[in-house]
Amino acid sequence: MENNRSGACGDHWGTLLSKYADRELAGVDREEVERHLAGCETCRRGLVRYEIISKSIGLDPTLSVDRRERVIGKLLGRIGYDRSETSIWSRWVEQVQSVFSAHVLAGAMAAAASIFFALWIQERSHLKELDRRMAAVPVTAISMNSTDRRLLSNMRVAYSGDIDWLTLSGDQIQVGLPEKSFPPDEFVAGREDYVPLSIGVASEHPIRILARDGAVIKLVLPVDDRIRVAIRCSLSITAAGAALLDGTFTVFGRGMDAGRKSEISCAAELKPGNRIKLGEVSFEGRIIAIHVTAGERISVSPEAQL
Amino acid sequence: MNVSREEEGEMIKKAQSGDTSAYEVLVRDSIDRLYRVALGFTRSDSDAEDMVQEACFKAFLSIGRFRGDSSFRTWVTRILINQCKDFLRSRNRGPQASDEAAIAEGSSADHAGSILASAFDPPDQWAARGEMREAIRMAIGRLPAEEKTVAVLVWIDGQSYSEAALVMGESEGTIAWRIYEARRKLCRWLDDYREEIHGK
Repeated sequence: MENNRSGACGDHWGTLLSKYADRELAGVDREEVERHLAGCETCRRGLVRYEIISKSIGLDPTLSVDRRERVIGKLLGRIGYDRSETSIWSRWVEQVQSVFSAHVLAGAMAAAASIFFALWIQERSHLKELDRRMAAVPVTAISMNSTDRRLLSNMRVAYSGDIDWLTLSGDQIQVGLPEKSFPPDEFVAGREDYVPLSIGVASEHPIRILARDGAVIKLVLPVDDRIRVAIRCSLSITAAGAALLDGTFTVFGRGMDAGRKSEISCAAELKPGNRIKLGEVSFEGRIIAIHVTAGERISVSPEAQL
Repeated sequence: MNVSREEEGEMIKKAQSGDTSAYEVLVRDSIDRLYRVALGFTRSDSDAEDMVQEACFKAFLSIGRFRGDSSFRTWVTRILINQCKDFLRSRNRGPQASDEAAIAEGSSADHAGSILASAFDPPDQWAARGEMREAIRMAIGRLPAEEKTVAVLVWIDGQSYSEAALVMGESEGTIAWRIYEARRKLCRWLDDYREEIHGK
């Protein structure tokens, strides 16, 4: 019999021995190997070697509790989910109090409040300027012709029409348009193509538009591309809508009260997983998910000098 | 934490709609296994943590595209494996450079070689050696990428061939062959070291 330096007599038995050593054989196959082993010294020795290799490695330990919480904490921080803001704040205050005396702490808090107020004023000015610029951008409706081919790249485009919803996750923006916006046979699922679409998304790189799935258009952007979107709209905020304001973005100006039409401006670094309903909103930063109520008319200015 | 397949489906739907707490449940359910796989590749606790965190972050960004054809863990493990391979490539400037160099050159290689050579000594002599495990794992680092991946999944993470097949998108037969090839190479290297040190 051939000893191929693997310790078994040939690849056939070698493969079976390897599976046997990993307990991947059962029934007839297992019995066949055991019969062979009974009469083959080479394979018996080979099996010992095979088992040494797998068994001496052993399974790695799992994460300790501390390590697990650290990894999960960092991950959640990145995806924008703070599980217990209050408790973290409380813990922070407790830690600071244990180090500093009360009057030093009070001084530090006052200084922090001043800085925060200054930043808030600066942000408000920035928002006013942003509003002014946005208002100055002409909103030009681009007709959506089913035979056009257009690459959205650093274009100044405007969309005026219905959007069911718009969401961004990773490198992909999905825009939900009412079914009537496109003839049902215009796009073929799975086919990659450029299509005319005037959605207010500005990117430094070409935006490829993938297949249409029902009324869903997928715009694929380079990973980690910074996307700038400016949207102005006005809609009634319902109780449910107000609930959607929970998140990490900051609202400036008048608050949005449930049950009444309201206008707000907000600036936010929206983080993955956050979701907002749009009021009168202007914002810049990385947009992860925007859901626009079906049927609302919006105007989009993608490059409003943000 | 053990999430049933049914619960996992619910959590995935929630995560896809932006529910980060649901995503946390999914991650917690898989994180130990993911860490083990990452450690199998990187052999460093801190690197493994980084790999797991990065893979889970990428998975979150792509969760909208996850269609549930496999379990969440299987899907993230695929992402993690690619993450680890990229990491090793950039760290070693070549997929096998570091481990090959570590074994083939320098005093640490002699040390590893002597440990490896004793692998085929009588079990009562090698079993007590705590270094054996690390030496063989170092040798696994020399394996070609696909064989190394299977070795990590099966021997270090304890996956069955069928689980590994799902992760790698290959048949169980291919997994069995890769494992066999990995064993053959490790045996050959062990023999080489043994001959080198003890003479033929």
